[in-house]
Amino acid sequence: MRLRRWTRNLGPPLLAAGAIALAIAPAVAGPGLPRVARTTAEVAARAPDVLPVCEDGALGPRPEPPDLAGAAWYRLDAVLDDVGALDGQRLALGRVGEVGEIDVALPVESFAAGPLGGRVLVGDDDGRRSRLRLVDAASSCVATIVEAEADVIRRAILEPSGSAIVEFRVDRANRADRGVWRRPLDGSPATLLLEPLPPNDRIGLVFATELAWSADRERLLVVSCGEIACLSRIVDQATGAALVVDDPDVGEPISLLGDQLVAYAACPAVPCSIVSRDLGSGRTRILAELAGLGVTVPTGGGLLIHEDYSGGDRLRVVRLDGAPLASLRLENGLRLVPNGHRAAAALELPAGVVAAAAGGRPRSAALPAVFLDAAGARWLPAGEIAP
Amino acid sequence: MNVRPVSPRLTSPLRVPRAAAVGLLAIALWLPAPPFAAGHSPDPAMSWPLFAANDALEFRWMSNEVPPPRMRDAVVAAAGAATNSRGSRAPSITYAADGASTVEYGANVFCGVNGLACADAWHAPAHFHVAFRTHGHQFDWGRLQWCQLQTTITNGCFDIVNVAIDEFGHVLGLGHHVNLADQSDYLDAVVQTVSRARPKVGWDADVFGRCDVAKLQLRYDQVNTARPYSTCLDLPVALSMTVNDRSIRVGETVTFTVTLQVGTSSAYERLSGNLLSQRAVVLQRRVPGSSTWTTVATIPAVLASGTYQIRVSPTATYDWRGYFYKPAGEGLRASSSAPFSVTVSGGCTSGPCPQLPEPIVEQEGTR
Repeated sequence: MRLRRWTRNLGPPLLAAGAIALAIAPAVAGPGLPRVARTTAEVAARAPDVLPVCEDGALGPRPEPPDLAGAAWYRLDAVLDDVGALDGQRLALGRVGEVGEIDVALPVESFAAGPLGGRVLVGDDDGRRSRLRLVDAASSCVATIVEAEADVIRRAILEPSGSAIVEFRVDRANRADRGVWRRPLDGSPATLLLEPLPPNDRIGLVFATELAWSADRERLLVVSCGEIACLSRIVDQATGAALVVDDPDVGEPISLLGDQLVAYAACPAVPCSIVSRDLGSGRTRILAELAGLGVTVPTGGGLLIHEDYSGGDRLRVVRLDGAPLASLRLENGLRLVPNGHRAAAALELPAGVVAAAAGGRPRSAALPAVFLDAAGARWLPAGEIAP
Repeated sequence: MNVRPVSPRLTSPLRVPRAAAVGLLAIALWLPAPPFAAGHSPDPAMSWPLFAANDALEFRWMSNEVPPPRMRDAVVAAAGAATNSRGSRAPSITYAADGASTVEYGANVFCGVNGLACADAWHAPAHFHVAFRTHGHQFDWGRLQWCQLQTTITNGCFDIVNVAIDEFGHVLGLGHHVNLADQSDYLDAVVQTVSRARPKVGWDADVFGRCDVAKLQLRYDQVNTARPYSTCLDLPVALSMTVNDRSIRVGETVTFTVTLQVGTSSAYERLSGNLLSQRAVVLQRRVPGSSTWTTVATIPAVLASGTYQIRVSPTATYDWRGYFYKPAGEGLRASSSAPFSVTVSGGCTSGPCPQLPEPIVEQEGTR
């Protein structure tokens, strides 16, 4: 099985490489990222060094990880000051099968996205300029994509082809929506991909805008959420056409699978119903009620796996037509790892695999995981995904 | 209270009522209807289970996600404010180091990408969970500032107490209040979809609003029969009145007994059929065939909840009814009993008879 082969290929050299730990400080100028050999974040903070800049060509298109061994994971954690205020974020990222991790200190206005092809896109803003950098977990190097954007880049993701960045910006002076932009990695100027969202009374003031790709990687999902309600815009990359889903029954999206927008209903928190909105017919179907975190996989014609609050600590798998497929016990304390913007963490997984972690947020890639296909779902043996 | 003037109390010789009392039950006619006042309805309900009425909920700080001290103080204060202003048999909420429920500082996967805070009570009646985003969290619109965590309070900050009461309201089963289009009723509820930052009106509302209380009363019941119902409600009232004798001679005394209660319907949830005590119920009469009612007296409440009683010595035959005026300070509708006659013989038989107020011989019980 492919998963086993990936696991077997991981070896001591990777473990040694993974022991490298790095730190990035936004105040440090220059093309590289500060790094240290570390065992703890405190060590990293005391002994900054510079993560090497990726060699030319090292960050060429690489849409898929060549192997699970090249896959990456990341996690963002709040860093608080003495009075409990958010003082920044700490990004930890690593590679599947490696023990070590890279620690990156980020300012409050920062994010991470991906991983894609073993790379994590990191954005940070120091109050004067926004920067985008791409950290390659495999080669432990960093490449600067954007050094000084005047607008605030709130979110960005790599295009599935690996050849461009799509970014959402707000105005630095008044935080007004500046739209979604596409920035080729070949140095060409960025172009406006999606106009700013017009004022919308239903969602009110926009709290968060998130970007994601459809499962077929051909459409961009732009999600704008107010304090409670959300609105989705789906941009076809080929035509540039945008479809707006402005429906009070559809909340924060989970994924876009074919013509099915899978989303939480309009709930302030989980548990919540998970619904599927057919983009063609406009019909909304409830896939799960009293659902906790949910994740979809494109395999088996599209499957939703979700935590189930109605029947104890269980995971349930349903097809996108609502038909139940499987049920698994969820060990105490584990939660599904949701999409990156909800978890502030993510990891690359093989097709059909979802992971579980304490609190739903991975600290490494060595996680329990569930394999799903049209026949059902099963827990993978320990170490199947990563040792 | 909106009470009509009462005729002067007069006295006259007592006459022992007839042993065989005649009871007439006259129930005011009403149709079940939504118990909501126009324009400011009670909050909708959350779909998760309810805690038990009068339960004592205790929360602790979630390990590794403990709020900073000033937020802890504000959340504890909010729990007290929610408890004190709940106006119903909704559970109390207090901090306890070993509480079954948890409050968290930091939202993570729980709240999603938006919102200032969120709540989960799906495990009711066992426990609940509330999470607050960190001070300084960066949203698209700017950086979240909790007023209590600022060194110098600034406009644009959010009041922790206000937001915490909103979350505790969710815990107790309240959904977001549906405001009028012009938001003119925003202050009717703290449990709001959109929180207001300082200095917008309502940013620091620190008690449940009347439409929050209304839903808590509907879901958990009123504290007792005497406590007022939220003015966000518009509950129908059933008033029934009986008399111990429908045919007397001049100089004899009859006793009118009124029962006052909330109308009966599943729409009124826990309040359905509740007895109403300590209210102002009046006795009215009219000349048979007339359409004009005259208030004779306020009927005093007796010790039995929801019961009012008065003894009267009528001098002529009249139609009688009990009447409950819509009170200004609570969400109850006006109501009257079905009228009935008490025939008085031996009095004035050829007109014009003197139109004197009926002598009220005795008011029993206490208000």
